[in-house]
Amino acid sequence: MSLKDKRFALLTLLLLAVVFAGLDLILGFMLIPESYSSFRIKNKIYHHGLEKNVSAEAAWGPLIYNFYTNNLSFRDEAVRDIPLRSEKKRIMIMGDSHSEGVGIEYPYTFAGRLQKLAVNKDIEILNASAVSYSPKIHYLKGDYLLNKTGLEVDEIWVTIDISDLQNEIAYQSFQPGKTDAGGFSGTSIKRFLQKRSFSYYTLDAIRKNKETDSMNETLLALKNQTGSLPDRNAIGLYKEFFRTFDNEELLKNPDFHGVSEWIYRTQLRELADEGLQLGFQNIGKLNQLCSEKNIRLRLSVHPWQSQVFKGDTTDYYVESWREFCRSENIDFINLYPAFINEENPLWIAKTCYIEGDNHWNETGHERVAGFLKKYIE
Amino acid sequence: MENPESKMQKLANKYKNKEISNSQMLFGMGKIFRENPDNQVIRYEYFQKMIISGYASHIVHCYLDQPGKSLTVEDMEILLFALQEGNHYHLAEKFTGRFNGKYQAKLLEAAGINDSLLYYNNLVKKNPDAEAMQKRGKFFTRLNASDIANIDLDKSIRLNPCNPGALFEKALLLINNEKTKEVTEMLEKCNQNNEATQLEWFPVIYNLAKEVESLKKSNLPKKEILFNQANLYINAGFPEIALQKSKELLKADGNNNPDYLALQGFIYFKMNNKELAMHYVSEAERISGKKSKLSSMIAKME
Repeated sequence: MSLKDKRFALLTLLLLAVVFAGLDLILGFMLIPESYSSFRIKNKIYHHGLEKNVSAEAAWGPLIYNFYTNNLSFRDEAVRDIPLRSEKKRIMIMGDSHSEGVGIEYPYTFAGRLQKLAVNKDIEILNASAVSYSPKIHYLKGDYLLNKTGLEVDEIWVTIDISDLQNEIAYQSFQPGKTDAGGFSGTSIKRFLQKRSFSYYTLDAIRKNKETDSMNETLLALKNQTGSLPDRNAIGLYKEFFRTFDNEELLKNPDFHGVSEWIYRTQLRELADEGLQLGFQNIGKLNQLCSEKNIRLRLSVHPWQSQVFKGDTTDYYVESWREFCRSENIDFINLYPAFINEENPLWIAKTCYIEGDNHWNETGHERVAGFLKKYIE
Repeated sequence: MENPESKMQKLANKYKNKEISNSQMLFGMGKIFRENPDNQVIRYEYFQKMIISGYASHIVHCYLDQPGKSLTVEDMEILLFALQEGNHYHLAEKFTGRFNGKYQAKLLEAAGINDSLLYYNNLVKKNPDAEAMQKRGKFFTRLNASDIANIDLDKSIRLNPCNPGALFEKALLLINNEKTKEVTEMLEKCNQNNEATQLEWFPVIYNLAKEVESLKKSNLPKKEILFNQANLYINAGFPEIALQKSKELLKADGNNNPDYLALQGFIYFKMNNKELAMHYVSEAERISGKKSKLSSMIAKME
């Protein structure tokens, strides 16, 4: 092939590539549907988190709601700058999807409500929560925020629920800086391609759909036990958190995904205890960090719907955490009585929880805020 | 370009044809609503579907989000529906001043229901005995929250089996859900309890449940079962169920049988609905060619 021919071939290839890229971007612009979770990104230090300074729409089941984050990558009422230090007293909430407030506009979440109340007391509330956080991530993120970014806070409130048992086991093999946190939006280039390139989006969607279908099948078996199945967008999010978890046998076991029953079933108690021990270790580390920085640590435990129906405010899970907190000198808050009391449990379930879901609706969040407001001082 | 109302309709049709789930339909409608927040038609349809699907709290807070916005008549109706359907009576007071006319009265009624709930919860808190559980169970029954009422009534019966108040309320709930086998089983356990059996309602409901059960198990033709069940229910004082059976019967029979038409007329007579009572009895007389005493009784109704 002559030089002229080679040049011609190269130019043709280049032109085809440009045309392909152009078409790909145009098709992407026209056909790629809006993503309601592109702001959920992986993080090499603490597994996953939220993109900073986001103004977006989020979805939880059929619920679409506004989603904003501040410069610290915390969910907030608006995109805004939070200084690392403040003259005011600062309380940082660290929790999972309940504390992130999935499905709910931020002002109506318990964190949003407490934030408003705290203004009158010259106190700031920051919310470092995100879906599927658990003690390991609270520690890793807490360590990063306090030691690497220089964030200063006076109190940390960790909110715990039964899902932490499973998350702790799932994140056990995650090593900061060493493990790929998996399928979240990764680098800026990847995120750009996901949003703009039709071919990249299509191939990625095929892969994700296959994985969601597989998870869906496993969860269908669980549905036969519990009678409910999360929405597909929730399943899609749920499966992402297991990308670093390599125990296929457990993953394919429907019981593993029914974490709310672990502490009540003899054959699953061992798994529950494993999750608890991991949780204790990580909160122990967080407590140590707080002691070093003179930060007050509080830990609360809240119930899922299924636990509301069981009607036990001092179940094995609550008592395990209470005892741990006592031994570590951590302030313990039992949130179960906010939902398990003289009121009719089905009334509570229907008025305080999102339909068919273990997450609070606006009324549930209002209840939590009402219970916690006495700790803002 | 397709207009948003057509897109909404398309989604509703897809759901109706089982091409998408309810959740997917609501999600799609939610997107259209957010793109067209001032479109009243879309707002009303989306909000109603969300409320029916169990997301009443979300809808109430959509209205709370815009405290200065004036509410149309449809908005007030939707809000009242959301407060009632989602049992969010505690939120009624947040809309004081935004409702007017008859809707203001209904809003106050909703707020009043919340006050009653607080009262009954306090009663249970002070003394969680059978009587307190029964009273709250009865309150929930009157609110048409029968599944919630069931929990309190069951607890009341567990605490004091054969206590007449709870038994009666529970029996009513079961009868209204046509769970006649459960009624007979429950009441048979108390056959030896004089306090319960001497009450006027006990033999009426017990016998009704037994006879309806016996009809279910019989080999009689379906229409005859329905006819007899309707008669049993109306004579025992359960017109709603009787009407349901009667309508089923007429539908199965093509509205031609004068006995069935007369029965429907009798049921409406018992429900004090003169117009419909006269309609069905007149039709029965026309087909049979015979006059009935019932028509003159209906004519005398006010």
